[in-house]
Amino acid sequence: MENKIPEEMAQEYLDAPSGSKLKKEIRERLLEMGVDPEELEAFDRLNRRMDKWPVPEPSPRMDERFYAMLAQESSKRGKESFRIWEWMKKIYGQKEGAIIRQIAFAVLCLAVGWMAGRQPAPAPGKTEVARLTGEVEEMRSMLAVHFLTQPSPGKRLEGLKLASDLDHLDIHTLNILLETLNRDSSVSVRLVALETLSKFSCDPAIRAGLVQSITFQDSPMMILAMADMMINLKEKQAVPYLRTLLANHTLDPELTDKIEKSILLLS
Amino acid sequence: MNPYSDIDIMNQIQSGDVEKLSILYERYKRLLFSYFYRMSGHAQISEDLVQNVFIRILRFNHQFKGTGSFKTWMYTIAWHEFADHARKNAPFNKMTELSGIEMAEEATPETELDQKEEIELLKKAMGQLDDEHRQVLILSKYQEMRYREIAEILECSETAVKTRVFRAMNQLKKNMKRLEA
Repeated sequence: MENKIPEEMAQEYLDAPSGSKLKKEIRERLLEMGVDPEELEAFDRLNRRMDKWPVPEPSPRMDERFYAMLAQESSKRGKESFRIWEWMKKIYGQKEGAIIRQIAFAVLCLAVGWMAGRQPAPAPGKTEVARLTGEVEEMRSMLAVHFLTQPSPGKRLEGLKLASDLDHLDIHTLNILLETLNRDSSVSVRLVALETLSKFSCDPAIRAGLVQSITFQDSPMMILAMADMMINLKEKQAVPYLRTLLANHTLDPELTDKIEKSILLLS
Repeated sequence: MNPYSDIDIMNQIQSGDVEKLSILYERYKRLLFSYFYRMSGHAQISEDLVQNVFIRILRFNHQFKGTGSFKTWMYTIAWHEFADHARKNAPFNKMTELSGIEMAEEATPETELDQKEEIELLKKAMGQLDDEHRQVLILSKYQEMRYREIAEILECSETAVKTRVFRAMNQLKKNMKRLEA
């Protein structure tokens, strides 16, 4: 069989989308060349079986190890972004959960202390206030990231609430939020992630992340919400992504209509 | 220019902003994990290999010239990483890890069992392919790689890649048939 079958053409047959005109045409040509239809069926069955091969999710430990390695590398190069986290780990020598609880407590104490410190004169210097505000913001970011990476959707929603209260997003928090928007298993969580990120959409990088997220979406609710948001943001960059969505998915007619209208409005 | 494009992020890493590696990690960690999982059949080994790839990216970031795509460069590193792993360890001969398999939601117990058996056979048949055939098949079928990109990694022509993928499929089909017999 493999002596007869033209390998390149046979591979084109396997690559062609199932049920497409192209696949039918190549099949006909292969059959004319004397290829056994049973053989083609066997390849199709194998292809379908391969589609079913699932991959488990990597464990949270993979992230922990990566960020520990990056923190080490970063500190080697004189960066200090992970300073507080590493410092607390060293001081307390405790597990993540215990540290998180202590961070939460510290945030509370800092917030209370800061509020109390604002009452009596003399007022603290502007630099001091900025430093404290920065530290509170950093801890809130850490808490948000911690909740966003929890298996429970409820916890992830808590993380989104914390993130939406931040004044700005650092790169790590932004990455986790975009990951949540693109791949979270819960549509509700993805919708809230969209709402959260939209608050920061004046940042061009975040806007770009939102636009790129269009093609990750497969839920009609998410697609509708994303299309609405692009119209609100008057985001012309979204047009090719919306077109890709139309080309790659079999959408119901209402949704197709909505996307086509969005494309018209944005073009 | 998109400040979050792979090449731009690599430029920033090359300028010393190593924390930007986290963007590439979040972007590609699942894809790389699935690549290694399908190559090795083991989740834990795959996690280790993903970590090693990013260590190599940091260590050898200056070797990325930005003329080709980052993804292709990353998979070249991943392939070398896997080859090193395979060389240091016992020859790959079976994929036995079933614990991570998720079944379709509506599967009945019987169909679930059938599906598990089918996947187990497929993993065994894949494990019987040589590393290069398994690699070319996984890159083309599961890793969203175009033949042009695979050709860049393997340093051969697109036509050669297409032929290799087909030969790998053909061998896989034979392996399956033998295992089912």
